[in-house]
Amino acid sequence: MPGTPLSSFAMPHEVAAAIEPVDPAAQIALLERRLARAEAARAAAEHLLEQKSRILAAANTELTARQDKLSTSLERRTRQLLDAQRVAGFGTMLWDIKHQQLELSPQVQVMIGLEPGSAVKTYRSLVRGLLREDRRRLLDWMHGELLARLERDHCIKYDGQPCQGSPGPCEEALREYRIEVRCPAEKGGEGVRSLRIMAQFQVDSQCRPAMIFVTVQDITRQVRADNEAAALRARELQRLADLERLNKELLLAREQADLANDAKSRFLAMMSHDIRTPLNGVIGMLSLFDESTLTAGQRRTLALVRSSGDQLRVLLNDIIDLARAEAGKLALTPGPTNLVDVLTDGADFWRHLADDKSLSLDIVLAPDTPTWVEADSVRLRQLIDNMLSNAIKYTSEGGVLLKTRVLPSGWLRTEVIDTGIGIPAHRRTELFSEFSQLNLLGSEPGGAGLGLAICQRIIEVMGGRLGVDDAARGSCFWFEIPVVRIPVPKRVANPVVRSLRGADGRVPRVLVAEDLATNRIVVEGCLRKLRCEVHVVEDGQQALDAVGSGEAYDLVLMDMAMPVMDGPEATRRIRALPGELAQLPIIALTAFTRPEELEPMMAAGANDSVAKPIVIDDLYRAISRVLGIPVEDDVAH
Amino acid sequence: MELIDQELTLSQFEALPSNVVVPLCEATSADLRDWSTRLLDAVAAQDDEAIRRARHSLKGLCGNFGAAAVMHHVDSDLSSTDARARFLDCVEATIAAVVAIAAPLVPQ
Repeated sequence: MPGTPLSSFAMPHEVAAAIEPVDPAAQIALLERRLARAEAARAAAEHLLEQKSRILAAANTELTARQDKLSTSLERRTRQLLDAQRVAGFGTMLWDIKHQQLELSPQVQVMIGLEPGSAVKTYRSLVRGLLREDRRRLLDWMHGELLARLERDHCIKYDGQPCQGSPGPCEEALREYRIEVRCPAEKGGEGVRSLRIMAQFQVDSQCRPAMIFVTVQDITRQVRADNEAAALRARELQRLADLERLNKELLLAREQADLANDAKSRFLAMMSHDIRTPLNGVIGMLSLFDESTLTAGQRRTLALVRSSGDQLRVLLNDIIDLARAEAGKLALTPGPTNLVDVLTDGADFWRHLADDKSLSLDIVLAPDTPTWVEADSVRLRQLIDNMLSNAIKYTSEGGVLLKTRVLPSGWLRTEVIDTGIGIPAHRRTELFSEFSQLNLLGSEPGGAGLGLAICQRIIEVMGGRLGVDDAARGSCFWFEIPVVRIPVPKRVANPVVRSLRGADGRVPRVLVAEDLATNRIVVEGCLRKLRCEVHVVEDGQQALDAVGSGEAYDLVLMDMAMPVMDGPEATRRIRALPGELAQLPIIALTAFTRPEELEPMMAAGANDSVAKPIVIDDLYRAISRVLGIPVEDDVAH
Repeated sequence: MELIDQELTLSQFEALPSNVVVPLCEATSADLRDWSTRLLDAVAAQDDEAIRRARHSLKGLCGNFGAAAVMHHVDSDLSSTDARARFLDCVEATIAAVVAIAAPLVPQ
């Protein structure tokens, strides 16, 4: 600045130095030194520059090499990726949202029918490559899903809270959007290519959508496979539905067949029952024939009729049993059963048939065979009868053995072993079918082939087993059933065990006066069952004569209405007899039940009365009362 | 109307020794026929005492088997030919029914 002294621009030591006197030589030396230092610095700098240039050149070479290598690697990897995309049938797209740029992999272009390398600027270009019917759907999807997503300036977490740029990818960023669309497989062709488009947002550091990364997968094969599988499944479902319908029809048919079968069984059972009743009459009537009045020819005819009748009756009984079994009504009536009696009675019953064929019929009961069991004696006997009759029927020589033993399980095993023709193993299952006849003898010896089928049903109800094995000669039919041993019953439900005995142990001697033969037989039968001695007369006069004859009677059973002399008159006359005879107990037998109707007998001196029809227990009690014999109250009847 | 009470009839037969079954059937059929004839004769003769007696015997017989149909006829007017024929048919049917019940009990 003009006018301003120099000292105001410089430091004091500079001012001092400036005003000191200058030594030129020193100044020159100083300048030379400075120049030398500058020269040295320049040389060093040049050296450094040279070195740096060399380093840079080397680095540049290295970088170039690396770049080349990376480029090569990148190219190779890109090629591999594209190859992989081509082979795998998928491509990729990257949509830069900020710059609105769309980048497609060549495979995507191929998929949607564009030439590789075609310029595609917007997604709408892509949409045009699809089937017409899928274009709208894709656009709706893009607008509804993707573009709506873009309208939000930041993503929303699923919990509804704004994402504040979390360090990792947020859930929204990871969300994948997908849709399946179709495009023509080739231009102008009819084939269709199915594509699966999966889009995922890529977010910036603020978690704002920056790009959409899209993979496009060719799922034509999968869709075709799925379609084929669906078609197959549909066919299978159709087949299942058909089968189900068929099954229903079969069930319905089965139901109808069962109903028809039931109806048949009921009809058969009803008819058999209705036929059996008059048949029993016919057979019964046959038994009334007095064979002594018949000629030999008539007797043979009668025997034939009887035999046929018996066969028919057996068949009807079997049919009724079978129908009952088929209807599930084959029930057991268990009760105290003397097993030994059932077995021996069964054998005894068939012995005459065995004798007729000169066959032995033996019975061997193991020592541990229980005597008393809880069982259905009738069905048990039916089993025994069936097996024994079959064994005898199919045995022409030798014999039949009925044997029993108790198995370790406690079950009873009963065997009927014959020396007959035997049964081939392969035909044994037929044995237990209804109406099964093996025709092993060339011709069947009778029967309808129902017996063993019924036995099978009975055994099933009993919870046992039935079978046939080989025997040393012939066959061994057997059954095994659970049995419940019971103690010997105190009194058996059978009136035959009852007996009337006085205090002296003597059985009563009873006079019966009854004019009707029927009633005489009934009363006499009842009395004999009660172990009484019986003398029967036909009217009051004969009764009076018998009492007066000196026979010692303990009791008189007197009918009221009789020819010659009726009951009241005979009673009066007995009461008029001398001595103890007048005290003879008299029981009135009468169909009259009203007291006034009984009055004549009671007035004449009868001690008690029994109403007709005679019931054995009533008779037993009346006699016990009159003779003062204790009544066994708990006797079953 | 049942011809006979089957259960009663069966119990009658079962209560008796098995060797009595046939004689009882024979006696029943004979008695029923005999007293039916007597009743019809008595009706024809208008013999009240004989009618009462026959009716009583027939009812006694029928009681053994619960033969309700015969009992019904016994108490009915048997003066017409038709009624008599129906009565005799009923008696025969009752006999057949009784024998049918008893037949299975006849010893083989």
